[in-house]
Amino acid sequence: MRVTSQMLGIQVNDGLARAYQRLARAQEVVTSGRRINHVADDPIGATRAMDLRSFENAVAQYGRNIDNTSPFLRQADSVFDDVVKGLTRTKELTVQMANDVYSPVERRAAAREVRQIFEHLLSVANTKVENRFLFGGFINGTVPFTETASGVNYLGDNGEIRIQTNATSTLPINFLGNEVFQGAGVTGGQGIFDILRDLEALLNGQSAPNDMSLAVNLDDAIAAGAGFTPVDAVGTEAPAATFNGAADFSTTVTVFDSKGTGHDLTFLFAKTGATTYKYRVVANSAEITGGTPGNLYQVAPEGTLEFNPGGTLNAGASTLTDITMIGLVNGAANITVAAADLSFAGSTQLAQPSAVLTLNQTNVNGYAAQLGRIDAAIDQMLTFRAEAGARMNHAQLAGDSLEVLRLRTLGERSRIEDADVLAAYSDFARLQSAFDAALKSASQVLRPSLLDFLR
Amino acid sequence: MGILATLSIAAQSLKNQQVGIQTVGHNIANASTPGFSRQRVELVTEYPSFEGGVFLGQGSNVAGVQRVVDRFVEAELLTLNRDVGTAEAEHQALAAIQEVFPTTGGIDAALSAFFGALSDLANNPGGLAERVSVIGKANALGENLRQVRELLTSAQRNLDDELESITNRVNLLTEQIATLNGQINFSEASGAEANDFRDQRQTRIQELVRLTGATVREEADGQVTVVSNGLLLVSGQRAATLDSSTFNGAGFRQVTFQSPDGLTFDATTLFQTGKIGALLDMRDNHIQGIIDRLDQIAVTLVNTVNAQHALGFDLNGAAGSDFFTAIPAVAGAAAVVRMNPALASDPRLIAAASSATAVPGDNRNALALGNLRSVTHASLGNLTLQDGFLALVGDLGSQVESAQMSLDFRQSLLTQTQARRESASGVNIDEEMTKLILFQRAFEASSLLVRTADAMYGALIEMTR
Repeated sequence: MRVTSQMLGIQVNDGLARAYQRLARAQEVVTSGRRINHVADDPIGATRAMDLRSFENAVAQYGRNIDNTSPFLRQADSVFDDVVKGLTRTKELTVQMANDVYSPVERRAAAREVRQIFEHLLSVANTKVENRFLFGGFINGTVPFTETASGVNYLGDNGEIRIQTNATSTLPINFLGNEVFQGAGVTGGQGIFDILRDLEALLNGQSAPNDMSLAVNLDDAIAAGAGFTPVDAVGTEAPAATFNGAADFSTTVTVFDSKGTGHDLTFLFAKTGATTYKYRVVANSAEITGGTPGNLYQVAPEGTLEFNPGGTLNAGASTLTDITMIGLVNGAANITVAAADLSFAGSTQLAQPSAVLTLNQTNVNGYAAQLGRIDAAIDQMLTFRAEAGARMNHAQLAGDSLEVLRLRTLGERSRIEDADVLAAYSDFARLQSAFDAALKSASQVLRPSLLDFLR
Repeated sequence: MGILATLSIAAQSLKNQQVGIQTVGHNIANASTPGFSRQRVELVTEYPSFEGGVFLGQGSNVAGVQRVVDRFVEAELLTLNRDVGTAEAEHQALAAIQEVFPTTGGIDAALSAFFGALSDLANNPGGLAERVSVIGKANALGENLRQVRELLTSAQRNLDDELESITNRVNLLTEQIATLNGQINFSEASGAEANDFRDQRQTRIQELVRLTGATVREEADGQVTVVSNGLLLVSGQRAATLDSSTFNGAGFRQVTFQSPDGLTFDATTLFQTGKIGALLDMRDNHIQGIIDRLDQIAVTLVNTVNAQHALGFDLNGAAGSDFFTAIPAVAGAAAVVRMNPALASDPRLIAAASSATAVPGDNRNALALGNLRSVTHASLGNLTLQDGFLALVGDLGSQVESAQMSLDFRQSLLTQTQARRESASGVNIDEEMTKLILFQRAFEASSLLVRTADAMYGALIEMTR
């Protein structure tokens, strides 16, 4: 092949340009420390690295979120600890005071201690973490618990503050005060403040609050005189023909005797006229001394309840007999439910074929009753404490797995994107010597011509 | 036969050697002229004379000066020039917009930071610092989107501007080729090849092919016809012109073809190869495609965030208004991604709560907003915003990579073919020096011949005195 000087020139230029380009790229890799400096260097790797980087950001964000849970959960744990301690002390006091050897003066001193415990628990229930109420739900402008004459009101809401712990799951960082301190929505839930207030009143010698309210929604759609099926006959006593019970028209009331033991009574209602109802109170055989197992016993005579059209009790037209539960001998004191204690004030007659009965009963008497409630409250608190612990564990585990994920992602991204430093340096050195060699050989090839020898 | 004949041979030889030396000189002088083909003196022996029963040589004669050309390589060079022109323009355009999408700190990082700030807000929905941070990140994201779109549009404008200078260059080249056609036609009427005109024309044709992707045919009269996808650019001594001063609906230049006869029409779609074709393709399809996808991402972002934001309530307990200013159409969406000014100036208006009564503690809407990070969208091919963007970047990267490879490949083919052309037509100084020495020696010998003949004449004249 014929070789010309311009051809040599083209080749040298081309070769040097390419070598220089490779050298520049190697240099870029060495100085940036990264294998991928432009998307086109490795489109798949580059987007994967970008994806991983944003994933790293998300993981870091989740990590920050989890760090955020810690003050809330720790604080909740310490509040629960305080409450349990307070309740334990209250229990000790109650056990002590149940003995008859203490004088009213000593009991009043104990009452003051109970009041202190109450104040303390009220203040921890209003704990703020990072300017947010721990037990107030989403509500931040109002203190969640305030004491009024009739009890402690919850002014928070049911908001769970949730924190994102990974792409798909969240962790609540607050506890709802009405669940924790008032037992709302908790099976056998106890109102801690109520217990303490009741106990304080008891120790102060005040009669325990005896309010029993029974709200009945009565159905005026049922024709007057309509009875219920005899299957629901009450116990061994033959009920009046118009006095058959139905499930929807009965409710169970638990009353506590002076020892704090609960007794289940059943109220039965039957419609006898447009606005007249009859009721009776029956008790389970277990509640009656000498009762036959499986039978229900009437413990109070039937009377007539007459309602005004608005649903309020027409006291004048009703024949309310005192319900004295003589048969209930289960301890020192008899149980007496006075007629006046039955409040039907809240009832309304609904034009619906059902009768909804709601019952709010806080008839609490005696130390034993309080002891039972305190035990239940401590259990309740321990359950929440376990929940706080579980959430802390959850956060810890989530944090740990995020850390592992972060390192793995970092490693993966580094593997994709970062230059192998040794290889990059040796590449660079190799390309540099190749470039030097190309330069040297170019200068050797281009210089000599016949002219050099014709001088 | 005679001294006179010898003198005549010597004189002719002196002349021939001078032609040779002049050609060598021409070659050396043009050793580095691009497109120059070396020339060679064709020396032939003169017709002998038959005298006294023998043929007597009558010296030499210059039959012509030929340029050394490999026609096949020349044709191949045209094709390669077209391909390199196409690949070069593609690579140039794509590599420029590639830098708009850096591998770190681009739109993906801004998106990530935006959703991160929303997550931080969920951790403390009442916090003003967190709200201000959300505004900052949202502004940065909008700014980033707008800037990238602006850069892409300006990349289109740059291509558009380049189109104008290219059409001007094409007009110059077609004019010159037509003129050279005329000169070659005129010069070669005598039968001798117009070497230098042909070299000049070939150089211009190569450039024209590189720009337009045209094909070239040489006619019997030595003139060339240049045709680009049916458009007659040069025919004999007549040249068409291209004009790029009219604009289409999108505000981009059209390529208008004006035939020598004055026929004028829009030929934008007829250019498919060469630099013009590649520029148009990049401008109207590739870059526009990327812009369209970016707009789709922007409009999806704005609509989803706004929809979720509207479900929430701000610190005043009012329902969330638009988070970003609503975007009426997909086209141009990325250029107008902006935070709602009312929100941007009052961080309390960010709707972090899901209930009007539970502010400021309620973080559910902030959580939901932050969760949009991992929501997929049908409009993005069932990808998340982030993945939709990364798919766009990845596609662009692949295009750049393949454009780079295609350019490298074609460029090296061109270089090799250029070397082959040089091998045939290029000037080798050593070779020319050798020829120079040969011609010089022949010249010296011829002059010795003159002197000898002169001496012989002298001797004859002395004899008669």
